[in-house]
Amino acid sequence: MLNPFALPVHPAIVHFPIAMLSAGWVCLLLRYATGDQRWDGRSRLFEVVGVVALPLVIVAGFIDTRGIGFLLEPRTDAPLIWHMTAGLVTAGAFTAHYLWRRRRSAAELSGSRAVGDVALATFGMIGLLAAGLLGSEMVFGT
Amino acid sequence: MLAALAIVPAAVAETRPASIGNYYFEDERTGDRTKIVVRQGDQVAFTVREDSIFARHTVDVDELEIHSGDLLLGQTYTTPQLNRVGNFLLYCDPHRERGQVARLIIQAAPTAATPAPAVTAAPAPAAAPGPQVATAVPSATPTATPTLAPVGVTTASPEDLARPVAVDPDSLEGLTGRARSTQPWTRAVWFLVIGAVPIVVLAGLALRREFARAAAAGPARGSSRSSGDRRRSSSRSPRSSARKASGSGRTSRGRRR
Repeated sequence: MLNPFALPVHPAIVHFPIAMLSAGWVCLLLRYATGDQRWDGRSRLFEVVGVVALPLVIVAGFIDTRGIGFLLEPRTDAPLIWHMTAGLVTAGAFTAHYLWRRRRSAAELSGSRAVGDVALATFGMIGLLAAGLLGSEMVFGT
Repeated sequence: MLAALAIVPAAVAETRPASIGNYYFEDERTGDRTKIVVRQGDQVAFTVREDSIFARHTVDVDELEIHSGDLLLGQTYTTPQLNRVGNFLLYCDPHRERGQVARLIIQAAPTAATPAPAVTAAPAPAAAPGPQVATAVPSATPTATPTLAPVGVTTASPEDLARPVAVDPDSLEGLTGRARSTQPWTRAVWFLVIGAVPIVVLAGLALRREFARAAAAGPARGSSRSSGDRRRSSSRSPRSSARKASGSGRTSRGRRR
């Protein structure tokens, strides 16, 4: 009998928020680099899809780890706990960025707000890169 | 006396090597990952060849009361002499659900009825490759046979670690033909530092252009709108002004004024 929990779920669906949030970040930079507000709308669209997919991906990760038992005695010498940490920080950063932006129109994002806009999104991107690198070490590394 | 010699299992007992990986136990002599077959009186030395990212590997056989505890990569756990004949479940406690189970089969040692070579008082033959092979000293008293190797956890010798482990053809290693890296996973931190540089540079360049545009617009902007907004509003203004000039009497949404 096929056991769905024997299949790796997280690697199968994590690509959605990675792609959407990365595309949203690129569109955000294009918005500021070109000044064209249409990129702002595209950025918001990509970001909302990525943020909506994040809870599913997080749950899938804990399905693959067979629960949170590995957190009871966390192994800091293995990449798993750090991959999880980076992923959760990334999810928090992009979620905060999305919630912060949806309260402001494109025209309001200038000056110091523009710096904060780009900084928070860039922090999320770096976290995304960290989670991806640690995930690759888990699969392809030692 | 000869009969007493023949039934002492230490004469042919040995320490059999086994590997622990993700997620299997493997008899290193046969490459079998489903069972480890030993003879009565043998010991088994389990060497951790691959470390798990979850919990550390263990060696557990409940019926024989064998529980190694957590084993680090490169450590070897040697069981006590296995004197109880039978077929026992061998498993790794934290990875049992991942299928890290095997059978530990202990076969009876050759008895005096069989033409066993242990009729002389000579030590065990050289075919036994255990690190410390006890010599079969004839004794009139049936005392416990000495262990062949120290029981418990030790650090595997470089020779033990250098022994090649058969690659599962269905594993990632087997499919890609690529051996697992020997570099520590913390190299990902260096890759992150390198990869973060272009990300930060691109973000900085985008902001720089935004501020340059805002500076070029100068104080005449009077609002926080970007030049893009100005272009859009200016593109709309000729249309709206034309509509007003036509005196259509309607608003831009077609409603009567």
